[in-house]
Amino acid sequence: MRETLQRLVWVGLLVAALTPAVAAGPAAGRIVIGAKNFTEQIILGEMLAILAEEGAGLEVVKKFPLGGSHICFEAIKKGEIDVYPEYTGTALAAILKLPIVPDRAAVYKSVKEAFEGQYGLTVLKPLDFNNTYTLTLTAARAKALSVKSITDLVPHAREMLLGCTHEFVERPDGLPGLQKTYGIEFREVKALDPGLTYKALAEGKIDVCDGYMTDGRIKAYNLQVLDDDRRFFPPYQALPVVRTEIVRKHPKFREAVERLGGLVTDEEMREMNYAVDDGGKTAEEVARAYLASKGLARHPIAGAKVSSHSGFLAYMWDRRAYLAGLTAVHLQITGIAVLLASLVGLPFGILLSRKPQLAPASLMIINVVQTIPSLALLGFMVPLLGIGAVPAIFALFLYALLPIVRNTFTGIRGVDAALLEAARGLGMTDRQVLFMVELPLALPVIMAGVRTSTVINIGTATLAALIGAGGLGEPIFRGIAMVDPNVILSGAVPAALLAVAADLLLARLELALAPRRRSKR
Amino acid sequence: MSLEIELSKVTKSYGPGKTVVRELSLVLPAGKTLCIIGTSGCGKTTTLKLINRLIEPTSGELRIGGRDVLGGDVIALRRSIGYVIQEGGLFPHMSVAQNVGLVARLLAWEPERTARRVDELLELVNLNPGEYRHRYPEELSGGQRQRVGVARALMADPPIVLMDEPFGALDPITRIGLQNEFLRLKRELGKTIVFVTHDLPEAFKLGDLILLMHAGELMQLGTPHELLRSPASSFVTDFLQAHTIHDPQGDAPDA
Repeated sequence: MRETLQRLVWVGLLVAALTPAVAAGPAAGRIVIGAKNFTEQIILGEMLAILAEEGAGLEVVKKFPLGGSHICFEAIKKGEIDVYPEYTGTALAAILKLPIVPDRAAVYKSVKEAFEGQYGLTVLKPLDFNNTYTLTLTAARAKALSVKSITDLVPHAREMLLGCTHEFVERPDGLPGLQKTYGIEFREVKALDPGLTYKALAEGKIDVCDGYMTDGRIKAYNLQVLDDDRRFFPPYQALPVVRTEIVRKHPKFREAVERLGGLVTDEEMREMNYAVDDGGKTAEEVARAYLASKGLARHPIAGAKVSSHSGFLAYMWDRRAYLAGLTAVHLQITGIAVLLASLVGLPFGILLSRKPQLAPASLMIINVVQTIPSLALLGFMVPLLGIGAVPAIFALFLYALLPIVRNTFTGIRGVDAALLEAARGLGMTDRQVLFMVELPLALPVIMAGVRTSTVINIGTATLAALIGAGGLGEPIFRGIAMVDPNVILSGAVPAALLAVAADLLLARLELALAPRRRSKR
Repeated sequence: MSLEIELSKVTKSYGPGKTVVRELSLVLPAGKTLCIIGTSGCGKTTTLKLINRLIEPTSGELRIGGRDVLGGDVIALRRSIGYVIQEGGLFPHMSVAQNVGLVARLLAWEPERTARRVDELLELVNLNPGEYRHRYPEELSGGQRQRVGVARALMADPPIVLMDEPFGALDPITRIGLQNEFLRLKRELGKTIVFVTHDLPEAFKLGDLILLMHAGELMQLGTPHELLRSPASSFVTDFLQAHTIHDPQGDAPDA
């Protein structure tokens, strides 16, 4: 407990000191809203935001999309987000790991009791729709095989490729439970981002995919939903989960959100999802229109700009302020990470050059860190440091370390031994040899390491959006969730330009710092 | 100013069977030039580096100007000894003036004094200061680099200069030119000089004393004339016979 507190204090101090622009944590009159990385969650997140703003007069900070249920739950436990939409079945099976039961009321009750009793979280009234998992295949294929239920699929599954979300592969209420209940085995299972599965199915790249019942694309792509004839999947009603402290502090927020209880049918949710995924609407527009139709929010101002997705450049121009902000955050997290890595990596590389017998082991350890997939490393950070800029910076720092340490080490070791002997023979102290000879001569190699680190980090930092650090990954993941290339590109293009610009800038810096070897003539 | 160098029973060993210099004793009088020659791996460069303690002896004593220097401040010792290596060992990121003035910088001289001395030394080694001061080593020929290396070694006017095959990588014509300049400088400056070479004619041309080494041991120490007239062993005879040597004291050998 003490340790946790200390850690929190540290995290708080770091956040305050380093990242004022991306500071996390609720302040008075402010509410931080999270949501997972798929369309429906983003729409629900926008609904919560509108209700908080208009219903309770709170200042809203949106921290979504976050990379999955696990990250959302860790974030709310640590108080880094105040509210996010969960699903009853997900909470039961994936978070609480309780036995799966089919009854709606029973599931809601056990989730509510556990969340409120164990985690200091308040569960508000659930919405009406049930976004249960299903298995889907193309209608044509289903008809050809005359498959209507999951039981019907079992004999064909051995020749089929299942494409599904990463969560579905792992969750007890996903593939493992499905296999146990139905004895179904697929030829191969491929994990995909939730935004991509239906498209892959429609294009024949996979045979079966996991579906969300309320997904508009099931209809749009003419897919067949298979009947869960053994009633394996629990109900998944959307469920606003709020930190109890926030509910006490802002009773109006609770009131506003509870008005949503029992609303939104399967059909309504499906239409909203479809409007965003394929109808060219933004999640915010769709959320507002729905709330307004129920009298829960003001109607959008007439004549207000409806998002025109015509033309990428026009789209970018429309969002220039937002994108500029993201670019600044992106630069900030990579900049701080590379700076810290230089501050640590340079002295460490020098140390290794002095004690080369330590080098193989040390470099191997840092190398192993480098080989941890970036998403996994970010995932590790969440239970330790929570979400937001601090864990992202720490993970990026670890990635930046290897090229800097290794290049400092090899750069210094690469200095001609005869020159070192001349330096010592002329009476230089070890310090003078380092600063007057070794570092200046190793500088190009060291700077190459810093450049490599920076460029890699600018790319990797896009993943930081999944743990709520913001930056240019935010539109990329939103775009993947909504299958909107313009949105993806509005993050990817600036990130790529940033990497190129940073590389050029550092090349100039290197030139300015590098000792001259030729006279001006 | 110059000082006497005395080695007494100096041994350098890296472990049993890895003795590179064995019980070496010699006295080099102040102002004289000693040339060390021998087969490759004979310990001649090690002997040179023992004198400025780039290599610390395993046992034995080293006295400079009669003072034991093995216990003293190694940095101060090196700053008082000029050091020239093959191709000059110039720092590629420093200009000619910065290379030459390096020891002055280490000794924290006034910039004006340094600049004056640098120009003086460039003149001494026949490089026009106005033309060469601001050049970088990459922009110099091999011979010019070697001159700069010599100038750098002389910066703080050290009583002793150590030279490790300084002319080894130069073409014959440049080498002979520099050897002649070396003889001029030697006369003008009167330093105590230890000069390692694998080139026997060079050793005989430049050295007041010759030290012939083999397998870490002294084979013979003497003037070139003594080596030619009374070789200490058949090894010395064989070694000298492998080359045609002109006795600088006049009589041609075996003539």
